Amino acid sequence: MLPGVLEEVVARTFPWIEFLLGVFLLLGLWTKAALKGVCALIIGFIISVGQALFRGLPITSCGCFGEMMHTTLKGIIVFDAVMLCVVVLLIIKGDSAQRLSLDGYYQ
Amino acid sequence: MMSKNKLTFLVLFLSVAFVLGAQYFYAYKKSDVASKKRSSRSKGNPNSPVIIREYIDFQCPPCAKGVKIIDSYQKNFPNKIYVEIKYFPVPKIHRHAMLSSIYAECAARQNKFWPYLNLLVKFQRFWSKAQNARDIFHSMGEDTKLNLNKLNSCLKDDRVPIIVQAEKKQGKEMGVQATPTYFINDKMFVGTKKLKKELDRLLGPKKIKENDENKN
Repeated sequence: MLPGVLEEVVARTFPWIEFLLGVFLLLGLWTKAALKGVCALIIGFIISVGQALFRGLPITSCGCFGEMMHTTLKGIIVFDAVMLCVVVLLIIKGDSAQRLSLDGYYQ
Repeated sequence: MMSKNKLTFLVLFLSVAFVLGAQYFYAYKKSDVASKKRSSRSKGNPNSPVIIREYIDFQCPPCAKGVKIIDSYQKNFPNKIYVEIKYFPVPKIHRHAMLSSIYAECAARQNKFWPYLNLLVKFQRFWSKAQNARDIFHSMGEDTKLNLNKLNSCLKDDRVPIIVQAEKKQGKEMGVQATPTYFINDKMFVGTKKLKKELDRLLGPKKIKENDENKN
């Protein structure tokens, strides 16, 4: 999907981005920004998995959770779509759920 | 309480430090475990110019001779030879081959492989003739000060014969058909004559005289 060098950059940086967004979500720090970042990642992932399905690429499992779970590409798109809905809901309604977050402390 | 921006940088710093630390720790543990596994049946400097991988049946007389030959070359040429022992028991010819390999592996798990091997080699003629060598192998374990509880657990461990057989299978795949077979810098040599010839070629003739080997 991406040219070689860009693929390498994405492969090396995205795990860090996902991890840091997760840390910020857990701590409730810059929560809305983190949620928007997660939203962008999920949309990007749905697009990349979707294009693999559309092109009929020979990928039977996305390897998303390593050895822990084996999910088909269709399964992962459904899973990500559900996550996307949850994330969008949190972005819209998130302000009312800040009691235990660091953002709530700083408000 | 610190400002939100400062807290953000602290969280970023700690998160990155945690991941890098965990990666480093995991890599260290992996290399430590790997090096312990490697070192228990290997001897010498892994960066030596001569790397020997020997497929051995402990009941085979030329194998015992080969152990002494390599030992004498290592003494003569310190830091020039790295040797690693691999199991290749031939139970069809040597009835105690498998059991001796199992005991050797159990000794290796307690980092006593080499002292145990020395006893196996030293008393090979004696235990080879025994009807039941188990008691002899056990007493060798006592002589090398193995923890006998761990030894007994190891002997009951089904994985040990699997490890031995797996190495034998690996040897067969590399073309080993008889023992001793040596891979010296990845070239295969069968028997002690070829071993000595190749070691002399690579290192120069040994200064210790021939009859000194027989004294050991």
